[in-house]
Amino acid sequence: MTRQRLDGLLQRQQSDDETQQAMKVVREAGKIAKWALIGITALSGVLGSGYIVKSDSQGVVQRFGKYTETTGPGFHFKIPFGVDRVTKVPTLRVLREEFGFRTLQAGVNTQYLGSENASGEDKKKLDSEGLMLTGELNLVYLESLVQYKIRDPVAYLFNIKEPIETLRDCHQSVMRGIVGDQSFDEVIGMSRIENQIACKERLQKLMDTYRTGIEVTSINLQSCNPPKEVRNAFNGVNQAMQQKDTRINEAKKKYNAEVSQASGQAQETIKGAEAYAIRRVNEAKGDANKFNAAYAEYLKNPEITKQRLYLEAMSEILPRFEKKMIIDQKAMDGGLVNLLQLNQKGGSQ
Amino acid sequence: MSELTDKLFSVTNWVKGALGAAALLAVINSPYVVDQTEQAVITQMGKPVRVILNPMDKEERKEHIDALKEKYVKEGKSVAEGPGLYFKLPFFQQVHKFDRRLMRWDGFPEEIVTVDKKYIWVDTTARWSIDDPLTFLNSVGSIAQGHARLDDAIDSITRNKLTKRDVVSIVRTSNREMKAVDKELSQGADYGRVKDGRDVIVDEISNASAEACEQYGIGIKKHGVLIKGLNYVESVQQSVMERMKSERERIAQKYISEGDGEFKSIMGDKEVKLKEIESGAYRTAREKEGAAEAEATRIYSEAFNRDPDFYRFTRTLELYKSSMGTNTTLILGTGNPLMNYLSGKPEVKSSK
Repeated sequence: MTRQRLDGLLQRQQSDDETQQAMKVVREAGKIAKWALIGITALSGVLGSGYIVKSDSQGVVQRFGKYTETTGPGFHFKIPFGVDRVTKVPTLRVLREEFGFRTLQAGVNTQYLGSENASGEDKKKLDSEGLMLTGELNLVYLESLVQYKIRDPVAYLFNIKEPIETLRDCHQSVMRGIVGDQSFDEVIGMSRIENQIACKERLQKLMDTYRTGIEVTSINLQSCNPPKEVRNAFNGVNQAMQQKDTRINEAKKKYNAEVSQASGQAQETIKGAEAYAIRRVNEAKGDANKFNAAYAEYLKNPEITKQRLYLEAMSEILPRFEKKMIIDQKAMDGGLVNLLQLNQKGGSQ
Repeated sequence: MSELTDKLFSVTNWVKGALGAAALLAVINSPYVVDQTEQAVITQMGKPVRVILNPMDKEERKEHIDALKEKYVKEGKSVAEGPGLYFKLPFFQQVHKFDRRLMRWDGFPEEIVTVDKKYIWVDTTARWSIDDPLTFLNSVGSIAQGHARLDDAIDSITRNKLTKRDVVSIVRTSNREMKAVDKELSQGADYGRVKDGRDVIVDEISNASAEACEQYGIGIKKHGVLIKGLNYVESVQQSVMERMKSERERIAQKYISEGDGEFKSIMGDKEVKLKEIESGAYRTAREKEGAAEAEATRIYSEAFNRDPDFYRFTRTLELYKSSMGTNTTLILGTGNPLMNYLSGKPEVKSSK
């Protein structure tokens, strides 16, 4: 009996010891957990009470969700544990959105995806952005680039849910509006610069109407082209225009060459005539002078001079004849000459 | 009994614990934050009791906002304004938060036949916001449902407005004179006058959509609906391209034949010019020669007129000298003056 009671007591004692042991472990564990919790809370409190804003950004602070302030670059304190929340917005960075093309890989050899080298869904997407109707219902393909900055980070964060998608929607709408009121030729070249300016203005106006806080810094029309399918025909027009110019230049060249050659020839002809005229007149004057001189001499002694001249002439002429015949005048008169065969060499006497 | 089992089985401890947990949950459940981007409606057992407004454009839309507040108060709701920390009855009240910002609705491209039987597709998009959160909660419930309402309203209004118009009126904004590289191209582009123009039509869609959506507490901004995509359907695009192609080919051909024409015309001018130059030179040359001839004649006659006989005499002698030559036989009659001395006549007569 006592033995039994003793055993029971011992057992109870043992189990009490075990309970004590367990209680101790639980207490210890609780202590560790408590300190761990305090430690973590303190650490997150310390870490969560400061933040750094980069030099190109601004920090927008909300306390219990309500906007309180905008902070500049540098280190700032805030209340931790989710009371103060900071959103950093890169206000100085120039951001870009592409339409009708995508930059695949920027760098030295930048690679682009355009409608021409895209296929399937990509092409469909790019075409839906880039392919537009002009005022005369032609098709034109535009690749454009919008560059913008977040001017007002508060408006940007709190006024509009999808600011970038909104910018994309607005740009497409504005561009279509501008292109739709112009001829194809105006879009692809004549009004390109003006269109960039007009688009920027109108896009900015929409951005302001929607209070997006976005400032459009520039719009670049990277390319304005006819769709690929008709490009050859378009280049054909340019070629034909050049061909026309070439043909006209060719004609003008030919005209100038031949006309100046003919003018030269004409000058030559005229000079020739002038030379002839001078010669003719000079000869006449020479002849006249010679005559006058001879005549002056002649007047001094007409009869003798005349005879002298005659005889001089004869003495010059007569020796030239190979054969000479002297025939009595009566025979001459009687037609003797007719009997003679004059051309016979050494004609008979 | 051990300490542990005592604690575990003590009723008072259980009650204490339950109360503590409930108090903690209540403390956690009661406060809520309305973000700068949000507005909220508080319901109590499903019934709206409180509205936390957080309107944009407070100054511009003051009247509207005041009217809204008045309406809420009349309906027995309490109204608060602005973001921040709020408290509610725990468990009994629920918070329904909605975005207060301008949101984007993007429609599906729709195929539309215009009044001039052109097949186009139109892609619209809109900026909308929840203007009346209470009405929105009651009649729509969620943003996704809101988009469904916008789909219904804007798609059908767009269709209605566009099917009444011809395609030029939808594409163009004004009747401004369009310039073209070649006059013929701009003449070929006469597709009729624009009656309203794109901007007017888009605003009509905007306003009608705003009106239709007001009942849902949805606000659509002025100029809120935009046409961001507009084009011919695929099959028509092909025929448009064909037209553009043939148009340009025609113009190219025109330039080529113009070039040929100009070429020929210049060549013609050249011929005229050459003939003019050549004949002009001929004329001038002959005139100069003629004048010289006349001058020479005048000089000669002036000199020779002094004694025609002497002239005749000397000239005849010159002639003899130059024309009588070798290989000729001279037959002289004795009656010839040269023979005077042969025939005993001592005088030489000068005249022949």
